[in-house]
Amino acid sequence: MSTNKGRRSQAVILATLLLFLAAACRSSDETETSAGTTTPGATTAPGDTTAGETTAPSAAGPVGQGVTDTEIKIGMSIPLSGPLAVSGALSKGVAAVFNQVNAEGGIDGRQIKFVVLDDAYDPSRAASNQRQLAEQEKVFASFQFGAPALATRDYMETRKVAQFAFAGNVPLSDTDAYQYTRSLWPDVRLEMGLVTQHILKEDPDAKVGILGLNNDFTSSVIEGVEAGLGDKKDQLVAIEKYEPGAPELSGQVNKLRAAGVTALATTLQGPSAKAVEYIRQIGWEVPIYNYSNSTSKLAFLDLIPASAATGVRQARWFRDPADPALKDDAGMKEYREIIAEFGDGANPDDALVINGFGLGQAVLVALQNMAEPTPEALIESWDNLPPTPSPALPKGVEFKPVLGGRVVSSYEIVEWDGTTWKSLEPVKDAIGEGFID
Amino acid sequence: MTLLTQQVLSGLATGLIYGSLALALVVVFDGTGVLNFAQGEMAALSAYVSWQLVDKGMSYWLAFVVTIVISFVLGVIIERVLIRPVEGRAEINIVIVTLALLIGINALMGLIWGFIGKSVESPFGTGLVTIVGANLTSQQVGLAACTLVALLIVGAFFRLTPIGLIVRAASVNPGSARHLGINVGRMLGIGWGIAAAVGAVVGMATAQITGINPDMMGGVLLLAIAGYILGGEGSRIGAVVGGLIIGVLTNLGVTYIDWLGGDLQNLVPFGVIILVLLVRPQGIFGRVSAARP
Amino acid sequence: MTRRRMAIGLLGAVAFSLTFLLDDYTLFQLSRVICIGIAVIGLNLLTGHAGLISAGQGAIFGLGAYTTVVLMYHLDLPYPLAVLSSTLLCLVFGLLLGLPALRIKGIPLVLVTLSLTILFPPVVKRFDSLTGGNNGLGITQPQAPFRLDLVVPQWLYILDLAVLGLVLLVMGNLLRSRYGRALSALRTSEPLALSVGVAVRRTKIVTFGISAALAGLGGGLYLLLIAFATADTFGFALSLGMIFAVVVGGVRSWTGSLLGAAFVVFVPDYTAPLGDRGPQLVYAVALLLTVYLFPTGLAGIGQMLVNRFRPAGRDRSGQGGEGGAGIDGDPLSPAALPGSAEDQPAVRPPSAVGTAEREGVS
Repeated sequence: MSTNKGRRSQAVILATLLLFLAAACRSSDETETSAGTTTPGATTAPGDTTAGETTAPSAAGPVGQGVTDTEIKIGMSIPLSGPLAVSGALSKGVAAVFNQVNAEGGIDGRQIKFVVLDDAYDPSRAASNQRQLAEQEKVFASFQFGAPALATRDYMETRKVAQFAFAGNVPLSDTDAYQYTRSLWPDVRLEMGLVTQHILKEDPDAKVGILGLNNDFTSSVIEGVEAGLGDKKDQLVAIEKYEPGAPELSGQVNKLRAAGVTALATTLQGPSAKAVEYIRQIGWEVPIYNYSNSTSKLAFLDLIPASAATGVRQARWFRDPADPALKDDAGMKEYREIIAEFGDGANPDDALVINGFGLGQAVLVALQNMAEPTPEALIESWDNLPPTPSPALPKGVEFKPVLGGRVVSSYEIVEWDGTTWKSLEPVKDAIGEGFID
Repeated sequence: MTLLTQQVLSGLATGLIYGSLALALVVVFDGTGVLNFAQGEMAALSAYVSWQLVDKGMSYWLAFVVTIVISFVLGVIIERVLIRPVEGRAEINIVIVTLALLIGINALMGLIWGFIGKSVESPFGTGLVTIVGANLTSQQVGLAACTLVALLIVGAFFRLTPIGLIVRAASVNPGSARHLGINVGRMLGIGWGIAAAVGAVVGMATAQITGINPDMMGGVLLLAIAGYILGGEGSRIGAVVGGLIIGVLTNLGVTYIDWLGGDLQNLVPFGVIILVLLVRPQGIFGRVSAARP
Repeated sequence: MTRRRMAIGLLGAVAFSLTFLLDDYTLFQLSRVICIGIAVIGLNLLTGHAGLISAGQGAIFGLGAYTTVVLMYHLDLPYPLAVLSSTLLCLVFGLLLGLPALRIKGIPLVLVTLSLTILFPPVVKRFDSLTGGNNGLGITQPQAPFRLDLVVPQWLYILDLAVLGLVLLVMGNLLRSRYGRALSALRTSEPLALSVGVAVRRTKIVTFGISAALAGLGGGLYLLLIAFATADTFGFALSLGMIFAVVVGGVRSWTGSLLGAAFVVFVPDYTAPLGDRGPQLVYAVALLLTVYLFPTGLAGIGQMLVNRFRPAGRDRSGQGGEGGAGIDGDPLSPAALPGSAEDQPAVRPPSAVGTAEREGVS
């Protein structure tokens, strides 16, 4: 049995630790504490914590949190570790944009301070990170990667902090319910709709199969394919899912083949690219359209033998910097120069870097065009973004507001011919096609 | 080609990955009485080592052999430095140590070689083999060949060579072994070394199918454990057969049981684990043995 | 008032006062630690005291969280009832889990519980009309009652602290009861325990139940904190983390469980500079250090530091407070036979094996 002294010692240890923690936090907490800012006796809005979104107006008008005369603070929560760690490259692209504008004087003389936190694609950590960014770092706006944005947007809404999500999930298009969250990546239904259209163009009786991760994103993919099929919905004959840890997908592939699939829409990435190799090796010549954000040369094609990579297709909205055909492209050259100078070691051939770079540029334009430095004004500026060109986008395409709060809706269908991405269908704006009602 | 035949064959092929790793697990258990949770990561590490050697210019098969040797040494070192100190203590200690090894090695691989996967030219070629109308890739056949060879060699070692017999004696009854002048510690080290060598073969052969990335063996380990449990403690053949059965059952389950689906396919191996442990803990081929001290 | 009670009271007062001293985010983090800590205490009971290694605590935690969110979302149940229901449901689940666990222990038990853990997220996602599937489910956080002038993070912190206090009280009494003695007999040697008339089977089942109930309680409270449940949060990594928390914090020490929970919660946040897999490396190193050098874990280290400042003449090295040493001085080993009285004078050095009565062993 433990003794009085044992218990007391433990109590002392615990007390000491807690006091240390308190002391550490108090010294870094320069603003008011929570008890000081609530109106006595008031019941606040559901889930509302401290109202830190607008401090006292300065002479020039209201100013959001995270904005001082010299600085504007922006945060990001993204997987830097774990199975989706490759996504971390997005943050480097965004950082390069911010570094460049800082070198040129910042936004209205304010330098951007960019704080990036790792969430390992765990929604619970993402929630914790956004809290930390909003409450401790007091950021003005924040980025969030992937589906965890669905978990964080309620909080961001009540906290009134602008959130930009790198996610194509359909629910994120709901800008009526969520005023403060906007998605950067296009609604995947558009992409899948165009893919399906192309499939039907080549073979009106095609039987479509889907192979994707077992997550919400695949549900969005299915919606898109069905939208593209229209009244031919029964031509979607098979849907196979897999878990991230699966060593190989021969079971799913053979099932798809046995179901009579003649065209495949897939969301493979990284290690699961091997499935393409297997498909070709068993002699199945089915056309494969893989999700654009995962189908770059560096992160996808290079993982499989060249013979298997040839023929892989995608409906893409941004360009692949590793594509040899773009070597002399003026926009690409400019992009590479910026990354070399401001990219902090990022690999310019990584398509996710240019992805983050391009969207970072779009967000920057929104920041520069804000009527006043508040989150509401930022969102409004975003919703009214002027057409913004970018080396990330195909020629002639610009970032501009499309429905769902997003800024991209144009895709080009391309196929890898062994050395470069060959265009099968010119750039088309998917909005006019009626995939989303 | 019927779907059934294809899925059975595919299942056997995947099952080989599990079975061969299960073989390594059995060797460790046979030799030292420990279930090494880090066996998969050690195999993945071997795959990276071989890739690194090939990347530096070594020919594939030379790298293959060198990697096996390096892995053997690594296994011995791990046993001596990390496992030996906790061998006599309560079980949880070893569980924790092997778990720590698992996440530690995984982290190291990610740190050293990054996340974007590596690939190696398949030494088995990229052809197709057709058996009873179903397809097997030559990589899958290559893995099968490697596993069989490993099984035979290891079996021969433990049954026929003096050292092999001594290793087994040392693990079954360390006390008596010591009385006979056997350096029990060294024997345990050899056991781990061999398991690591088997793991190296598994890792390198599997890398052809899954590609090389830090998480390549994550999913495989648990399925290998399922195969090992099914096959029976202490049985090498049982481990491989167990793995094969798991592979086939999983594949067939996913194919024919509609609600199973790709996401719940783990129900099969884990269902097997639970059933076997509750109903027939010694597995198919295992011997019922008294608890180890 | 004994000195011990005064110390605990002081500690409680300090912890409570933090509500008004710390900012919302830190309170949020502390609350996270408490919720996970409660579950770790449960696991500590199961693994540390009863010697049954479970890799499933994270899944039961998730079960608790999901039960709470489902009840609040679909049935509009008030949150105290929802959390209570989670606790009860998990209690029952644990009792049921204890039944088959009667036949297996050691590695096989680890594997069975591991299976449940790995299957939890996909199974939860399947029942998507109930659980929100891949998207998850969210609720609004509870407000402070009685129009108290507290914001949500403060209220939740106080709530969690109060529950923690209750849990510790109950656990303390439990260990001093007959059940507690049965537990330590069980850990020492099952045949021995049976031979002296300990109801081994019942003890095991009860332990599973309590451990699961605590996980459910922690999970429910955690849900109130993060207000959104997603299946992938409650997977393999969480269960593994809880085992790590038990070991690194210090087996059989409740303080240790809280320290371990803090370790597991904060390490990922603070090891970002070490690179992408930094947290994993830190866990690995900490685990190895604990097993080889500091078997009594963080709590034990704390105890040793406190002993440093103790007046000379009282050598209490190796003691982990409630933790106590095992047969060979190693807390992770089966316990030595229980002492007969609570207060013992000076103690044998930890290396002595035998039937010497030892202080600090429960």
